[in-house]
Amino acid sequence: MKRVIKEFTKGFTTHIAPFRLVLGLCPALAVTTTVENGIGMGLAATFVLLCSNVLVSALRRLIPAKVRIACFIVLIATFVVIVELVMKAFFFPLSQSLGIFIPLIVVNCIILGRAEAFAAKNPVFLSAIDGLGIGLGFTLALAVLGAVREVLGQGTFLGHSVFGAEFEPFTLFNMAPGAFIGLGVLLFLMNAFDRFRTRVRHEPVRK
Amino acid sequence: MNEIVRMILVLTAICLASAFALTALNNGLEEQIAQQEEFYVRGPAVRDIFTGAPNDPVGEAFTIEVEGQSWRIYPWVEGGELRAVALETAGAGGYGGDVRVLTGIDLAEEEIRGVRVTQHSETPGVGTRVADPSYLKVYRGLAIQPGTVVALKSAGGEIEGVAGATRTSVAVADGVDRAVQFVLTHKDEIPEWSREAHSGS
Repeated sequence: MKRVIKEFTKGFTTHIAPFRLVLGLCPALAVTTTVENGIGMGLAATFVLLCSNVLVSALRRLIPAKVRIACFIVLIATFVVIVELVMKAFFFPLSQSLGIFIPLIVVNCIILGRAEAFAAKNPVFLSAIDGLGIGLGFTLALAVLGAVREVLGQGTFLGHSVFGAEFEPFTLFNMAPGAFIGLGVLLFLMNAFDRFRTRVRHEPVRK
Repeated sequence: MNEIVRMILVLTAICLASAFALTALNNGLEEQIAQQEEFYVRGPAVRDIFTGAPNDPVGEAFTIEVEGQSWRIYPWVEGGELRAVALETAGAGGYGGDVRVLTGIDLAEEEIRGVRVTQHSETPGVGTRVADPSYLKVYRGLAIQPGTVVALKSAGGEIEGVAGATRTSVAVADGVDRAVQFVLTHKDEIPEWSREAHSGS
């Protein structure tokens, strides 16, 4: 049980994408113009990651090592197309705003990365937990970055106005440079916080 | 040898399973997706082209089968008479595949009323410029006569393409041309179809 908790929570701490696990940067920068888009992309990627991890793990003894990457990609692409079709059928406006980045989930390095690094070597249940944890951690990261960019770049949060009508938004945050800056600042804050925590732990107790 | 056979078998099996699953899902969701596209894409595009229509072109749209193909027609009915029609066609030759365009054709004035791009896989920032309504204005007022062929200036026609997005421009022109050819070919039958569809409901 402890192992399960550990594999799940690492997706929110030591292995959080795209901050600690430096993968999935492209969608992280491209779709986080709003919180809704960030969460939508995160959940779509989580679904693919979960299904792909489970299937790769289930088939790990059957897939010959030399064709494993090709097999993984076919499996991942299949689940991405499933997500794409389901989104178009039931969440059409969201699929329009995420646009080309849904099919691009195929090349999201997180998914192939976890398939190769974890699912190919671990049992199905743990692989599912790994996929779920890292996927949801990614979703959280996208939501936070999306929040920063939406609040500063449009003055709204999930579409609701935050500052009132007179707020002049920093439109920089709606565009690519703002994404990089937002990501960079968040990464800086995470690193600073980690460093502060390590220092506090090692400091001798003062009387 | 055994190793190679095994690799081929496993990869083939996975690909077959994937193809089967995706085809099944695509067929199952086809109708639902078409409905969503009608609501979110084609509907607004028709309303864009047919501003000022006295009827509801989207609500009164009908589908007819011609030579084995399904055509969905959005009618502009004024004073009981069919005045204009809009229809969606797929223009071939786009950079990323077919470009679907919605063409509004005024039957009374015998000219194109408007064009909108409803679906494409063109390069963002390059080909997507062709989908901009401000570019598509170039099709407005184009006369539809028997023998008219819609083509770019570079192909002997009258339409100015978008610089740097030739293939996309060609695909849009092709899509519009298909709509025009359909209307010219079935010019006399279309009002009949519209009346049948209207009275049927």
